[in-house]
Amino acid sequence: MTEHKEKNILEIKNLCTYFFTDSGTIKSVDGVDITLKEGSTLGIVGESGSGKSVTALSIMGLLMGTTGKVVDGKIILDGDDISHITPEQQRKLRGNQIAMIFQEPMTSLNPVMKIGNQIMEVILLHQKVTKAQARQMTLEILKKTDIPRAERIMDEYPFQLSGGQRQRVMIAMGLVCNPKILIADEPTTALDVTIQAQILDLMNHLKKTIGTSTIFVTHNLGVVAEICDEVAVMYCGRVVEAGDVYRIFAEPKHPYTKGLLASIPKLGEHVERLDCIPGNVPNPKFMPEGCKFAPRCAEAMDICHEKEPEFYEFENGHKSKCWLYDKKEGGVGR
Amino acid sequence: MKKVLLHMDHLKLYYPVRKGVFGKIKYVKAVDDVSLDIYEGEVFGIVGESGCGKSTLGKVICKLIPPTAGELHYEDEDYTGYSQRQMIKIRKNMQMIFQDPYASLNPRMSIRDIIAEPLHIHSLASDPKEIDQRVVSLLQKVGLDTYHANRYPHEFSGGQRQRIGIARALAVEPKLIIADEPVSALDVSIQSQVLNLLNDLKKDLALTYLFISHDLSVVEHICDRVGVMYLGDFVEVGDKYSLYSEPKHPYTKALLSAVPVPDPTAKRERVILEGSIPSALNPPTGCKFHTRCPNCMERCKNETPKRTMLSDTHVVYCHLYD
Amino acid sequence: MTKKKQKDQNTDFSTPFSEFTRKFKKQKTAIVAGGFILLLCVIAIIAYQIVPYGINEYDYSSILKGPSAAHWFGTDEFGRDIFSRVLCGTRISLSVGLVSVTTAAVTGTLLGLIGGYYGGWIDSIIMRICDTLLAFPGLILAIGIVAILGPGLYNVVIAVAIFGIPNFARLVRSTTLQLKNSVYVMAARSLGATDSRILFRYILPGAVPNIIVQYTMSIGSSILTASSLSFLGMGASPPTPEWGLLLSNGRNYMLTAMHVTIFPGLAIFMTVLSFNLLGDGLRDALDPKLNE
Repeated sequence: MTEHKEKNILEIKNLCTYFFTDSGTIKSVDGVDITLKEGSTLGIVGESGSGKSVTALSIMGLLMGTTGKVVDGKIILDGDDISHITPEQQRKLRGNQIAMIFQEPMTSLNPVMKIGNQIMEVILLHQKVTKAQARQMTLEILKKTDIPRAERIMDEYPFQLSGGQRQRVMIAMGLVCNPKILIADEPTTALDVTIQAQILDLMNHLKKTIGTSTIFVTHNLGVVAEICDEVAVMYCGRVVEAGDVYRIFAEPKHPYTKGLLASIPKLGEHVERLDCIPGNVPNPKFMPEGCKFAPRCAEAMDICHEKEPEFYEFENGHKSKCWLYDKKEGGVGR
Repeated sequence: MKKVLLHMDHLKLYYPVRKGVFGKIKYVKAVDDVSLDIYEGEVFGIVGESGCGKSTLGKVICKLIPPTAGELHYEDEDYTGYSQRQMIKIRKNMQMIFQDPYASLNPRMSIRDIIAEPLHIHSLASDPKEIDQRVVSLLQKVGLDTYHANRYPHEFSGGQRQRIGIARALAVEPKLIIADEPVSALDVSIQSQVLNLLNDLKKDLALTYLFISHDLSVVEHICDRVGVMYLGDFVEVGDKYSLYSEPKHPYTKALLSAVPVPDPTAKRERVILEGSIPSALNPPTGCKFHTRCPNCMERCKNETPKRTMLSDTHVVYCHLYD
Repeated sequence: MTKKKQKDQNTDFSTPFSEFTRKFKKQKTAIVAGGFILLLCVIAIIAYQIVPYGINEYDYSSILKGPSAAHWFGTDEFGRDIFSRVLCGTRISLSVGLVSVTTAAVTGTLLGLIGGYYGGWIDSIIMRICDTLLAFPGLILAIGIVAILGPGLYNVVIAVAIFGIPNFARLVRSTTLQLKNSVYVMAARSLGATDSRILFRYILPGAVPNIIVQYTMSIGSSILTASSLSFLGMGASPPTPEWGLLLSNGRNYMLTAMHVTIFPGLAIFMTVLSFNLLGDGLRDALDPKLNE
């Protein structure tokens, strides 16, 4: 593994978040390791039930009020262990050092507050500046998001804005305090294709100018290819493959990743049938033994149904959790 | 394959909206003068973004919403003015699959009842044994197991519920299926399963599909002909190969270039459109796309473009070509 | 490479009814309340068989005697056993409650379904009538109706029924409005279902949980209203052992012989409370938490 000179701005080790419901315990996230390098964009890809959104919420400490709890694991932000901080300390981090943007901008913006005031509120909560200074900072960040007529927007309400504009406001709110990391949870999923293109373009541009380290949670592999530098693929609460974006797309190692890539219809490709992954995501209350993907895997071996595999490492930090790469167990090795 | 199954003539759907208690009535032109023929055996895709009217068009064709103006013909029968009772006959030939698998099944009915419902409504079977047999054979056709018939919708995943919805639609042995975003709410790995299923069913049962979606890659995969809608009418209609490889309308070009491709090495020529989709209450004059069009000319602001036939199978509505 | 067949993972087979039973079992107070109501029903049926004394058995030797071994609830001003009278009154109160609420429920549900589904002028008329009825303070309305129809238990039932219709109508109407645009109703229409099929097979079942809760809660209040009317002399006439009437009898002896009022009052209180608690429990158990 080559040495990476950049530092890790966020390290998550063995994160376990469980939901304790009347009908049983749901292990949404069960042993997730994630590393985010400073200045880079990490995509967390997965389908429903993969635990990707719950991971994002766990980092932010936003599970209060739900039946979810982080039961194990370490979260290290820029060297500081934030796994066991008090809710008050968590609150201080949010918006300030860790910012989050959500999928539905209409429901995440306060409908009865003007846009300008909402952003100013974030600034005033975390920084010692005057109201006038806050207003100036708000205007500047709005202009950076290429939102047309930024001055007027400051005095408007969310319902007066379009979906794309609201998402820009959310991005502005996220970036205004210059956070160490930005977590974007499916920010373009609810947007039309042409608006999505605008937002992705904006985020790419902001990557180059401001350079915030970002975690981008999505189920859309096309978006991942556009905007992410590194990728972590999640399935059933675990990371099954991780690496830089070029390697993951060119040489996927895990059968799930391979299956996902093969099953999406691609523009310009004309096939009769799509290669699909058979079966369904397992019911979280009845998880299979061993590797969670084994029941659907075309290349499953006996060991796969008995024990969960370890991570096997390839070049440049590319790793995959699969028995196929363990020579001892009958796999092909690296 | 040239028999016309469905014919739409100058179809309009305008919703009246009153602004304020004493305001004038304005109209949301959800479907604005659509004329289209669907041929037997084809898969016709309708793509567009939100507000373009594609879902509304699907509902108008089924007469779930009665059209404001225009005509609808099935084979040669004009069913535009049919009452509910008269529509039952047409409904036997035309069925719909809905987008949200979690909302399209009655949570209080068992799967057997849900699939047997059309059989009861159209009086196609009365003997319980026969009904059972048909339910079982439909379940098998969509890839589900027999014992699933006794269960209730909440026990199934999104993909499975969508299959149940398909089985329900097939119960009356329709010729035309209108699929309103059938895979948009499903996980990626399940989408491909359902798309393959739809393909197989089309071949086995000689179906015709009207496939409504916002996902251009999915539409390219499954459709033969595609129509692109913007603010209530079509801007370009053509066979899939010419439309995708040589799109003519500026909106089609922008749409195609905006689709994110799952290949980090691909360099795309992105056409980024300015602004957002205008409100359907106040659509722009002339060509509705002119406010965002990179090729906008003076004409476009005042004159609605006419239909230009680029070839037998490719038409476009744009002043650049007429 | 053997591919093990995926074991059927849906081993938590449940019907909407079994889901309801599971949730209901957790409502301890409601279960106790339900048990008490069941006891009341049994008493209502067999009361006249099991009572130790006749309801009109005068005994001038023991007038206004407090609770004793012979008379568990004491005696009233004519020496009648209050325990027997209260027990026999159960039948009256329960039947008045059930009949009036059932009438209100059936009528209100039909009005709500029709108004909500068809809208337009039908809906306006139905809603205006309901609004008018609801504008009157409950008891005054009931008194007004009885004043028009004349006193007597049958008219009390009618008054209470009329008084209860708007609640059901509004409830069912709001559920109808909500459900008539749901996707599965649209799917049913696209299949060709007629309006009546949609109303009774799709929309009504969706309203049933709310109707059940409202029904249970309404029985409590209708028993209270009926008792109040009898207390005021507009309902049952003596010597019927109706609870409200028993309360009324005891008015004059409140300070000297409290037991004459306490026990019928307690009966009313316990019955209404049980129905309310049961209703609460049912509401929690029927709450459609579809996305658990």
